[in-house]
Amino acid sequence: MKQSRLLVIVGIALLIPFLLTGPRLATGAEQTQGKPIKLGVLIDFTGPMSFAGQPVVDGVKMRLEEAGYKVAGRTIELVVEDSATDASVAVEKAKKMVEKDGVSFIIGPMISGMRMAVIPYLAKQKILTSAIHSDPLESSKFGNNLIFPSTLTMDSLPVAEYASKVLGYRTATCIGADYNAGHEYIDTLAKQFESMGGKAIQKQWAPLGTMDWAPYLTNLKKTTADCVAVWTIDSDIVPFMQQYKTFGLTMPLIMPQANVITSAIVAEKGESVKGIIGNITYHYLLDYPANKKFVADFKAKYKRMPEHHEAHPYIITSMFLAGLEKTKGDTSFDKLKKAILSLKMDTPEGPISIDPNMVVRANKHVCDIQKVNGVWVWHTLKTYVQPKDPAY
Amino acid sequence: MGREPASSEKQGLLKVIRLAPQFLILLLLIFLIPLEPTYVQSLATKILIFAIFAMSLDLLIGYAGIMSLGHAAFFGAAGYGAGILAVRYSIDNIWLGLASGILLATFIAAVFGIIALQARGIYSILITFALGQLLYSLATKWRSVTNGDYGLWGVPLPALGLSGFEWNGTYYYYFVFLAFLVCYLCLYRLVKSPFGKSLQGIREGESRMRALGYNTWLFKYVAFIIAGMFAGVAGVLFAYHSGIITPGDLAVMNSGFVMLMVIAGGIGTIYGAAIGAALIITIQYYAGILTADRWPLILGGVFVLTIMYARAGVGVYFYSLWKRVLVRWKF
Amino acid sequence: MNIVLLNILNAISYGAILFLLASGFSLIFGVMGVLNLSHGALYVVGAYIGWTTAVAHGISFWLGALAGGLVAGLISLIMEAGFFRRLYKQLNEQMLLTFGFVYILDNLSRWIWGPSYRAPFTSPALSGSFTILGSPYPAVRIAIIFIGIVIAVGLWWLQDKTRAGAMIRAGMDDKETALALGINLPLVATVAFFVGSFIAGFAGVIGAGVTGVYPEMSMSVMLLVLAVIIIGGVGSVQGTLVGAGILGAIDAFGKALFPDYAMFTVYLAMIIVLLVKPSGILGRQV
Repeated sequence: MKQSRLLVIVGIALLIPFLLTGPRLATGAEQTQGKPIKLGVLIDFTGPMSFAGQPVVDGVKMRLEEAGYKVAGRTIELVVEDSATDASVAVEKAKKMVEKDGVSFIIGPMISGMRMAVIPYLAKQKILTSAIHSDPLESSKFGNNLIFPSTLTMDSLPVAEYASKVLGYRTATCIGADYNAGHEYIDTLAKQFESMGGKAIQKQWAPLGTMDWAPYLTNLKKTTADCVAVWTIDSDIVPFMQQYKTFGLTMPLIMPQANVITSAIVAEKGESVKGIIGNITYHYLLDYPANKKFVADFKAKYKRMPEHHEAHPYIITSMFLAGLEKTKGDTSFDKLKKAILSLKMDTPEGPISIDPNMVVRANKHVCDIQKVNGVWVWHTLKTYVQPKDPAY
Repeated sequence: MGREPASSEKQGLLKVIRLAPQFLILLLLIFLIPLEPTYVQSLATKILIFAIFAMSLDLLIGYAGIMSLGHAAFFGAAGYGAGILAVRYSIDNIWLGLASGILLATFIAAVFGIIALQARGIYSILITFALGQLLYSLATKWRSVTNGDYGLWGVPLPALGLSGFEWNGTYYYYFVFLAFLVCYLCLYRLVKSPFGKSLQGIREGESRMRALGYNTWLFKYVAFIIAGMFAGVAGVLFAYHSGIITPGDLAVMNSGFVMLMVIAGGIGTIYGAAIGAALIITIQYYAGILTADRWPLILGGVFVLTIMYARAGVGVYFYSLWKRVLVRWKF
Repeated sequence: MNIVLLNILNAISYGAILFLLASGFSLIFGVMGVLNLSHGALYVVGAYIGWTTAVAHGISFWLGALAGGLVAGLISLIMEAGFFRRLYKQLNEQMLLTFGFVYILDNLSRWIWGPSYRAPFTSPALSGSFTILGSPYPAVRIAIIFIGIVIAVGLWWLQDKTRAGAMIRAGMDDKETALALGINLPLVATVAFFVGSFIAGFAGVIGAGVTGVYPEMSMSVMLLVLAVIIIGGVGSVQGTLVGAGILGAIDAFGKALFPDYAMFTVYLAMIIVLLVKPSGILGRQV
């Protein structure tokens, strides 16, 4: 038995120095001049939110191609990973992108909950990241999060104001998807509506994946309100709208973050979904010079019209590149952050600027659905110019 | 033709050679992994955590013969227990976190076990599935406590209790590794014990065991609780590892995922589950890097192939290969 | 229209959708003993085929429904011949295999049709509302109720009134004796598997009139199917009807009366049934 005992003793003896010295090769890749700059995209290709995956990558790629995958004399490499609609996978992939690939910026993940898992890690590693479709204001406390296109509050405030001040609605009954995002959007809208003198008289919550809205619509038939405030994801909102009509309900509908009803859905189902007045960050008919060019180029390249899924990453990549132009290719955290904070740009969503807490100030559009030149589209009723979240 | 009796030194050497794969794996885990970059260590930590999780399920499936599609309920519940303690109550002690998580998992297993054992055979799948999903919807709805579907983020690695000690990825890897060793040894001893043997007897012929006077229900119930307890260990370690625990960690997809590991590695062997965990997680990871959007095809394909052609499990397959090598070379 | 009546119609129409979803699964489980966890994925594939036929190519909706059923049936034949047959009698392995198929079918659907949501589509004749007792009610739901009734009657007739049905029931009750009597059980199993999967694919296209289609739907569909089975029991048309009916009622009235706890009422119902009668209300004692 002597040999095995010896082995065990040797093994333990060797173990101790390792425990004492701790981690060895833990530093990230170097970021010196001449080496390529790595841009990371962490987005869901699998899981319930996978509809965003490819479009987001398309948007980023389009902007990088316009720049010839070069900025300030350095080449740019794209690193794409699947966050699988799972927060722990997102953290895992973020670690790989930072420590193995050496990215200087990560676009995504998309879902706010997953972002809150990843942002603290990235902050510790001093890596900038950007939301794709808004973040809660509290995520700015980490100091590395570009909140684009706005805080979650701004996804509802303009339409709340429009409903209250322009349309004169006094009462609203609410239906939201029964999960965090749904509650956030609807509760925020209700609060904003009430702060303007309105009243939210009823709130209903439908689980995600509700295909059959009959019970909720039946409840709505018992209610009289000036409008219905609704928010849920695309796969649920379309059945909702269709069933709403076929149940014979006629109350007008307002919707925060109405971008979930994409232009593609509007074009296909316009007749069923018309009647919603929504808060829109981007639609392809937005009347900005940068957008006209963007839409033309996008259509030529991808043979379809762009949605916010592609437009947002396109704009974020533009900001990344513009920041690097300013720092002359220096990707170090403090310099790049400062450069990005100083940006003022004209984008397909209109003019943007960035507040010191890294919250972007972009235009918001309250839109309805109309038939323009034979195609159902989102149509801007009123533009709110770079509104500011009153919470800061 | 006889062989002279081997000297005790030779016997010692023989034993080492027979255990070579285990030694190699231990050496790899103890010495090689910490040399890798931290994201590899992080992956290794995740593998060890799921190894514990899978081994606990193997106790249930492979020894007690209870098929469960809701095992992730205990995993996730423990994660939430530890997470809530750290985030909502700011209790900065890893041992208290582990205790609260494991206790919660054990309690829920005790409750679920009574319901789950009502059914036989394939119906236990349905019951365990329903129970798991019930807990999942609770985690999603009870937003004030669990933070809903966003998950409870911001879970820190609580203090070890040693003054001046600061956690890092490598230290946590070692911590999880030690936990894995402890769990493995416990489960190994358990299945080799009379209790374990009785369980196997029940799995192979419950009416026979009952005729012999065994309280088969009690045996299965205890096994159910122990399995839930170890799943809880994994759950707490997972919450600390990811820094977040989500309702998805409780859900049927996670239960199915860990069942994949047990099957792929080899049911009824304890070590098989650990190997299965390493296999599945590694494949998922590298498949994901290979193709960001088509990796489930690879994972599903591997799984189907394993069931079709390596039914006993990959771990068992390699182990029997090794055994044949030993016999061939007269070790 | 009376609100209660409206809720009743909701319950019946939702129950009809659930019945369409679950009847095929119950048949397969009853005859082969296999828990086909990819049944939801077959429903989704059927829906996609229907979408391609009816929406992308503008061909008749009903042909699309037929096509959806046939493709689903075809996939089931491949699964059966290529895989299940080699795992004869190993029910656990077969079930696990279907779990692997879920990953594959899901991802293939995503690959072929893309991950975007497809809005609900149906036959042009059904896209409006019928007026019932003075209130509009969606036409497609009425159609679903009728189709559900037709399929239920058809399956019940098959089960109770035909020789094929007798063979199926014999196989479910006592395999050895059935084989001894010369019943070609493997053929019966294959046919049952095909029919069950066909119904799934067909139901996918019909149900898409209410739900639309997207890849992740397979999971939510599967959960509903399991709920129906747990409550109603497997192996008989009556059981599936009871399960679907109860679930439909719980959904409609649960959401109307306790909207905040809708999710729980379903799981609670499942657990209560499992405690009282684990094989389901009308399930065969296994």
